[in-house]
Amino acid sequence: MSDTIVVTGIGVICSIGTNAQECFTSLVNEQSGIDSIQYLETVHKDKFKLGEVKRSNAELATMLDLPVSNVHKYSRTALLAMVSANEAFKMAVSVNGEKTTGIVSSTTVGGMDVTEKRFLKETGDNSYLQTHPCGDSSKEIAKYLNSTDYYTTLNTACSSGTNALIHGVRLLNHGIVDRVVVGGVDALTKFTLNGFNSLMILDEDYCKPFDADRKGLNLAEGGGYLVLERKNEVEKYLCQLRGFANANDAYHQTASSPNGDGAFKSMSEALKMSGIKASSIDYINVHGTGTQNNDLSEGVALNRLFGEGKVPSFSSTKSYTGHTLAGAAGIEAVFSVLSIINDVIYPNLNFSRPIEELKLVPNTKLIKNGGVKNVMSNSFGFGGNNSTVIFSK
Amino acid sequence: MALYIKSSDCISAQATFGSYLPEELINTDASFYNCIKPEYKKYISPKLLRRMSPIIRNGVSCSLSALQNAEIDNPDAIIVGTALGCIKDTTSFLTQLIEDNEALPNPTHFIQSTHNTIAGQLALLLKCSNYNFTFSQMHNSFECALLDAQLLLLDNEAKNVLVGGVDELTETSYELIKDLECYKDAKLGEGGAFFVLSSDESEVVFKGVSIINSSQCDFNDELQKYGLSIDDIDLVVAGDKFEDDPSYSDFHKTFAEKPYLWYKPFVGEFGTVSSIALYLGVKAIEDQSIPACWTKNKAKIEACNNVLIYNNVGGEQSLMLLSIN
Repeated sequence: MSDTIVVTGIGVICSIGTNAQECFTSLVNEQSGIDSIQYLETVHKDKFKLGEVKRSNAELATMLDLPVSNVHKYSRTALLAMVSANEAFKMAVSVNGEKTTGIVSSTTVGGMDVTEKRFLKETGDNSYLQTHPCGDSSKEIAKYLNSTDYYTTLNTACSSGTNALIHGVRLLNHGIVDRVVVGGVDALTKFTLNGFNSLMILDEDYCKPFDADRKGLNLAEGGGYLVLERKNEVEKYLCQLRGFANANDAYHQTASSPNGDGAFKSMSEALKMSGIKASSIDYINVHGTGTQNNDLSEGVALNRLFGEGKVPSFSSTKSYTGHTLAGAAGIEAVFSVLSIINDVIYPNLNFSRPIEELKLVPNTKLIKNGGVKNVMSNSFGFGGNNSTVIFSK
Repeated sequence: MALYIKSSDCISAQATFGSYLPEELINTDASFYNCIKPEYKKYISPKLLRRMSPIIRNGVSCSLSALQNAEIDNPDAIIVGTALGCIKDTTSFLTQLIEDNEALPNPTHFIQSTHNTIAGQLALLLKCSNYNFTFSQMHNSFECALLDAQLLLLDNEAKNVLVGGVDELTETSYELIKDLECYKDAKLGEGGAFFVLSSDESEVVFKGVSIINSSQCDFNDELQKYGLSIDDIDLVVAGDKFEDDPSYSDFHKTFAEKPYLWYKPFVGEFGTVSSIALYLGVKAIEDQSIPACWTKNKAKIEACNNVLIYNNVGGEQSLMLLSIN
C-alpha cells in the first residue's frame, strides 16, 4: 500500500443487532441471533433456523427516515445496505468532515428478495426487476449518502466484501476518491436457502464451526461496512488497515481444496503486505461456515501457515450471525475492528470437539484485555475465491 | 507508466473471434440480437461445455482466445464485468424452485448462478490461483473491471491482466428486462469482449477509463486529464442507441465533425456492450481504418492516433481513451 489507510467508520446490521454497539453487546454476552424463521416466506419454515434481521422492511425504512409508503421501491438488500453503510458514513463524517466519497459494495443475489416474490406471478409488468441487478443496492447507498461520484459492486460470492475493500483501497491510493465506504450485504431469500439446501450444506440445528460434528451452515442476512481514508488526512481513526490479498483456489467451483491452497495463499500474501510476523497475529476471525469442507480446508491452511500448535486465537462469529454471504466479510471486518478497539476476542459458540485431522481448538471463552493488536479476517467463496484482510491497532 | 492493450477479442452479433470487422452488417428481424457462436470446442472440452450456459461459454472462450492472441498462459489477474451475470441459470433455478414449491431444485443451476462463475471457471481451466475479481454495476460493470485492472497494473501488482465484460440474453431474460427503464427504445443484444491489458509495450496504448455519474459531462475537462484536447481526437466510438438519441446530444454536438463510430444498433444494447466499443477502438488503431458500415456520419477515417469511446445510460457515463504507440 502506498499510503497508510485507516478505518474511520463502522456500521453493521445483522441477526445480533441493528448497529455496531448492539452487535458488540451480543458478541460479548454470547448471544446468537440464529433462530426459527420469522420473516422469510418459505415452505422450510419449520425445518431450518436462520440469522434474520429482526426488522420488517417498513421498520428498516423508518430507521432510514424514508417514507414507509415508498418501501416497495427498495429491495430488502438495499434497505439493509443503507442502514449499515449510513452508520459507518455518519461516524466518519462526524469526526473528519465531508469529503469526496466512493461506494464500493458487494452482494451475491442483489434484489432477489423482490424478484422471487413476483417472478412468474406477474405478466406484462416486469418493472419489479428494477431492483434485481447487483448494482442496485450500491446505487441506493450512493444516493442516500449523497455520494454518487463513484459507486460500484463486487460479486465474488461469499468473499465479496473483502474484495470490495481491496478495490476501495486502490481508489484511495490513486486519489480517485478521498474516502470510501466498503463492505457487503445480502438479504435472506428463498433462492439462497433452497440453493444451499440443494447442496446439502445447511445445518438444521445451530451451526458448529470447527467442531468435529459440524453439519453445515445457518443461512443469514445483514450488511457490514467500513469507511476507509488516508491516514495523513484524518483527525482520528479507529484502527489501521495493514494488509490484504485475494487469491484463487483453482480447485472446484464450490468446494475448497483439501490442502487449503487458496486460503494459504491469501493469508500469506496479506501477511506479507502487512509486514507483520505470523506470530504477531493476536486473533483470527475465520471464515468458519460450519460446513465439513470449508472448516477442514481453512484449518489445514491455518496449520500450514502458522504451524501446528501455533495457530493464534481464532473464532467464527458465524456461530452468532449465521452466514450472511456477501455481508459476511463486511460484518466480520466490523467485528475485527471492534475486537481491536475494545481489546476482546470473541468466543466461538457451539464448539465441543476438535476436528480430528486438525487438532485445532477455537477460542471458546471471551478474552478481555489480552492486548489485541493485530487481527486477521478470512472470507472465502464459490468460484474458489479467497480473501484475507489484516487490521492493526 | 504507460499501459497497453496487448490483445483483444470479441463475441457479438456481427463479429466473433476474428482479426477483421465485417464490411457488411447482419440485420435481424428477431426482437433482439444473439451473438455469433464461435467454435467453442476449440477452447472448452465437450464435457464441460454441456453444462455451461451461454454467458459462461462465451466469457470463457473469448477470454481464452484473447490470452492465446497475447501468447499468455497464465494472467496475473482475471477481472470480469457483468451487468446481470448468469441470468439463464438464475431463472432456471428460480423457475424450478417456484414451480415445484421448493422441492429440491437442481443444484447445478444454483452453483452456476453466481456472477463470478465465469472468472471462477477461468481460474479452474487455467489453474490460475491469482487475483480474481468480478464487478457488477449495470452499465459500468466493464468500466469498473477495467479501472481495477488499470490500478492493479499501475501498482505494479501485475504485468498482464485479463479483463473483459460479458452478458447473455435468452428468450426468458429478454421478456423480463425489455421493459426496464434503461432499455426502453433500444434493441437488446448480448456478447462481450476480453482484453489483455499489460505493462509490456505494444501497438495500442490504453490511456485510461473515467466513470462519470452526472447529468452532464465536460468533455474538454475530461480529455485534459489525459493530456488531450478535443482537436486531438481522430475517432469517436459512441453508444447512441438510435439516430438522434437524446442522451448523446451534447456528445454529438462536440464531436459531430469527427469520424463517428456506433455499434449498439448492430450488436444490441446490454450492460457490458461498451467492452465491444473498446474492441472497435482497438481495431481502428491496429488497422488504421474501419469498414464504412460502422460509421454513423460516413466521415472518412484518416490517421487514427487517438480514439475516444463514450457511453451514457441515464447519466451513468464512461469515457475510455486509446492512443497509437
